[in-house]
Amino acid sequence: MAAGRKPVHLTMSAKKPGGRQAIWEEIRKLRVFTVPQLALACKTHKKTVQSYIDCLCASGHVVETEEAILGQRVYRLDRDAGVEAPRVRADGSAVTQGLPREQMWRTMRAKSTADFDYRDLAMWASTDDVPVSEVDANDYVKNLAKAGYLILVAPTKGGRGSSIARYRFDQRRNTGPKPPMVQRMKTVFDPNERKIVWFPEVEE
Amino acid sequence: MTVQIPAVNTKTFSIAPLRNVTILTELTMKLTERDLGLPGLGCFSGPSGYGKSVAVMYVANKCRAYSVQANSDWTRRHMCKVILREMGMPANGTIPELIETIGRELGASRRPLIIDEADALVTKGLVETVRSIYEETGGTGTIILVGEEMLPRSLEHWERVHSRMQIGMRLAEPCSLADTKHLASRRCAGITVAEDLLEAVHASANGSARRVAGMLSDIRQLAGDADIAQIDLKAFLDLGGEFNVGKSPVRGH
Repeated sequence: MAAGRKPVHLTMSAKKPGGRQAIWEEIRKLRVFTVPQLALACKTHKKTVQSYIDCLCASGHVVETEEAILGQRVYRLDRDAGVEAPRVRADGSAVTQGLPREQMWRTMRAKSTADFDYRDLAMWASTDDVPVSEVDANDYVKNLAKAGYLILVAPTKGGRGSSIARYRFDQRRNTGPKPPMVQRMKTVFDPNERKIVWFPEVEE
Repeated sequence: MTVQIPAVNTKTFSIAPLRNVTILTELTMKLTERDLGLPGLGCFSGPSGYGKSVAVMYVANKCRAYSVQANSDWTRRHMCKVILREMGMPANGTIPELIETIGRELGASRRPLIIDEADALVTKGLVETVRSIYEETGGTGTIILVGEEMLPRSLEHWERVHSRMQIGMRLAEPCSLADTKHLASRRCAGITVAEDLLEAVHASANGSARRVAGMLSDIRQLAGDADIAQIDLKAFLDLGGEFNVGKSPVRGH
C-alpha cells in the first residue's frame, strides 16, 4: 500500500516537473499516444497515468480513438488547455481545491502598495463562485509572513481599541503566479522557485 | 504570545456587488463566452479613483485572468516578458517568438489577458503589439485594455484594434450610493453610520470610490476615538470631520 501522494517538494523540486504536470506536458508533446508510452516517458506507474487520462477523457481534453497499437488503446489530445495541466476530477469537473489560496496570492501581488489585514484579504480575494473564508485568510497570512513574503506594518493590539495585524506584500518576494504552499510539515514551499522557503524552528 | 481577536466573522464579504466590478465582470464574461467569429478585444475606461483596478483584481480572480499593469517604461520585449512571467512561462526567443508563445497560450488556455493602465500602451506605441498577440490566438483569445477616460478615443488611431472592439467597450460608472453603503458595511463595521452622513459622503466624493473609501475610514477613526457606536452627519461635523472635496475629474463624451 502506497503512502499517498508525495509531498510537493519531492515532485516539483527537480528540474523536470512531476505528477500530473509531467504527464500533461508529455501529452501536449505527443498529441497522439498510449498509456504505456506516457508512463515510460514520465517514469510513472501506468495506473497513475491511466487515472489521469480517464479524468481528461471525462473533461473532454482527451479522446479515445478507435485504434490500438500492440493491444494498447490510442488516445488523442482534443482540447489543449495551455501549459498548465488541467485540474479535473474523475467525472470531468474542475478541481476547486486550492483556488482560495490562488486568489489570495493574486490579490496580494496586485495590491502591492496597500497594506491589509487578513479580513481585508478575505474580502478582496473572494468571488461569488469561490469565497475565501477569514479563517483561511488568517492562516495563509500568518504563514506567508513567517516565510518573509509579507512585511508587518502594524502588530495586533489587544484590549481597548484593539486592532488586528496589518501587512504589506514585499514586492521583492513576488516570485511568480503560483501561490506558495503550506505543507503538512508546516514548511512553506514556493512552486515558482521550486524550493522550500521556510522550515519551522525545532522546538525543545 | 496570542492575542484574542474579537468576533471572527465567518460570513464572507465580497466586492462583487460594486457597480464597476459588475460591469467589468459582465464585459469579460461576454467576451470569453462570445460566438466564434466575433472579435475578442475589449476596453474598460473611466476616471482615476473609480475603482477600475479593484474590478480588474476581482475579474482576475473570478476568471483566472492573467493581469498585468502597463507602465511608461515598457518596451515591446519587456511587455512580452511581463505577460509570460504572469503565465509562469520562460521568456526565451525573439520578440515575434514571444508574441507567438503568448498568443498560443491565450488561445489554448482560454484565460483572458487584462492590461491595466493601458494608456501607457498608447504613448509607447505598443497597441499594435497587443493586436499581434491577439492575432496569434487565432481569434479565440480575449484581451481587455483598462485605462483612463480618454483611452477609447486614443485607440481610434489604431483602426485595426478599434474595429476588433465593437462588442467590448464599457465605461466605468461613478460610485453610487449603494456602493457607498456596501463599502461602509465593511469599512465601518460595528458602527452605525446614519443615512444623512452616507449621502453626504457619496455626494462629496464626485463618483470616486477611492475618495468614498478614504472618507469612510476617517469616519471609523473619528467614531472610534470618540468611542461612539453610531454617527450621523451632525455628530461627524461636531467631531471635526471634514469632507475631502477635491477637484472633480472631467468626464469626456
